[in-house]
Amino acid sequence: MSYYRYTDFKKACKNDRDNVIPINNVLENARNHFNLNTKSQLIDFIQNDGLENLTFVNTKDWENNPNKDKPIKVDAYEFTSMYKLGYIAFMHNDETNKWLIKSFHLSSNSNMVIYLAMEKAGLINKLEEEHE
Amino acid sequence: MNKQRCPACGSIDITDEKKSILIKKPFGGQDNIEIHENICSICGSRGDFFNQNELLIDETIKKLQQKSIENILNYFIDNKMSMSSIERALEIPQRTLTKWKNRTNAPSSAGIALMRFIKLFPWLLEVAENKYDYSEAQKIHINAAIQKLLPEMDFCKENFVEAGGIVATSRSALLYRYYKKKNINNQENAFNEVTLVTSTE
Repeated sequence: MSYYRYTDFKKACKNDRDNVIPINNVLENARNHFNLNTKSQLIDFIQNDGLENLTFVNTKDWENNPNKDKPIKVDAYEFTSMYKLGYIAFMHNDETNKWLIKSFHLSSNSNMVIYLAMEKAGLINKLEEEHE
Repeated sequence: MNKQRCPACGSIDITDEKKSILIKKPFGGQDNIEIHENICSICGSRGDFFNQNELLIDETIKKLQQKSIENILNYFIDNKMSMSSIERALEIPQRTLTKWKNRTNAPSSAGIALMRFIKLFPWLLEVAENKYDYSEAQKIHINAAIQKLLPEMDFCKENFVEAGGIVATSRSALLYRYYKKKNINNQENAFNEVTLVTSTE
């Protein structure tokens, strides 16, 4: 189960954009792999339900948190967008009141894209029936 | 004055450094720009913490997109494709492309995407000329693919397509196969066979 409500994160992308900060390689990956060139475009994409078939992966403690007494949780999801399978991880720091998009990149489980497309086309059930 | 804080851990121990990034746009080339990168010494997080880079990246992209439109339109001119006929086929107002080329008007993102597709697949103009009729579009598409494929095939080569195969859409197929057959004198001859099957509906 996710630590944060995804809708809260999405709401922040809509109504509180100054407090949503992409860090590390997020913007570079967004530009290179998803044609999202700026922070605005990335946040527009998220708040416009661009992350399709969102699947919760896990919740972990933020490993670089300097204050180990106050752990900060990171939620991670996989999503699809057209032919791509992506991965997003975000966290919220209550002290700074910022949402941080910590990771945003292509998922290593890229075979899932084909699987999901075939499932949508109704071919997975058909294939499974043929093999029974 | 409030000190700037790391958005991740709240530390005030952050530095502002310059970082070079490459922005590329199809048919528009590329540009190296220097952006701000804030780095937190405590948690190691880095990025544009205070939204300093957005405008510069935006302007660079607009510049490259303008360049790409000019390059594409020059390509059309060099290949004797008149802008007037392109505008007519696509039902966009006359002189739109000229205005884009001369920077009188800036093309929209949709306009840029359209021009990129036309540059890659000029036969799409013929589809537009045929009023986007599905059957006609399929024929134009297949014909364009065959025109691209045929020059790559050497039908006189003995070892052409050793096994065989198919290039197909839902209504048409190009089949090719290689086989050996003995003639009346029991001599084995090699055959390369290419068949195009297409629906005329």
